[in-house]
Amino acid sequence: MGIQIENRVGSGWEVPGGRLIPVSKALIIGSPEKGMGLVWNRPSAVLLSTPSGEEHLVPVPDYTRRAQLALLGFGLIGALLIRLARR
Amino acid sequence: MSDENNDSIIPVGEPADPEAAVRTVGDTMEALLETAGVDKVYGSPIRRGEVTIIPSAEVLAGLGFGVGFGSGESSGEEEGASADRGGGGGGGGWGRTFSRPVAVVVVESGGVRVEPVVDATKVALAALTAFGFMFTTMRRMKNPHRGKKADAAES
Repeated sequence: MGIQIENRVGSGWEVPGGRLIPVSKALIIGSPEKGMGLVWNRPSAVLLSTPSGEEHLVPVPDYTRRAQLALLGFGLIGALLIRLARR
Repeated sequence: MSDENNDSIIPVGEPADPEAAVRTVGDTMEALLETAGVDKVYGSPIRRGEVTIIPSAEVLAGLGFGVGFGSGESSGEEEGASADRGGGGGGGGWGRTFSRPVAVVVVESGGVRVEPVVDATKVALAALTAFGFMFTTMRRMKNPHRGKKADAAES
């Protein structure tokens, strides 16, 4: 069973102001001998490379995932506090 | 029918080619690993005048499969019985791919910005789950013996 986390960089596109290079992060769980595999790939950032040589990394946030995790945490902590308060 | 055609017929009882199954499994795994490519989460740029937008999405792909082959031969020990040969094989698999938009990269003359894509349905479901969990905990704390009383009344 192999578990890998990889940052992958694309070739990019020419855009006004420079070259935009996409970056993604992939979690790969694979085991051909056991007959299973899973790939979770998500965008992590874009890198803007200007003709003057400057590079700006712009992160790609996933607000839906953040909101889901925050609500999950809120629910768990809230339930725990209710239990503690009523003891 | 020519001899060449007869050679291509698989006799009854002969197991199928295991190599072909292994090749199929290998090809499927390769196709799965291609999902990890950066081009799978970023779309092609769309240009409208001075503005370029690049959509991006999260991709989750999974699969599972299994193949098996077997063959056997009876001993034919009984008097008058002939030795029989048999074989068989089978396989099965499952695969699923999910995709969800995450953000849109907007390139303008002023620079690059990222516009997030929020899935309101998923957030609402998470909120309902969280509040439901808290509400259930509160009810249980208010009436801790409610479930036990109901069980006793039934018995």
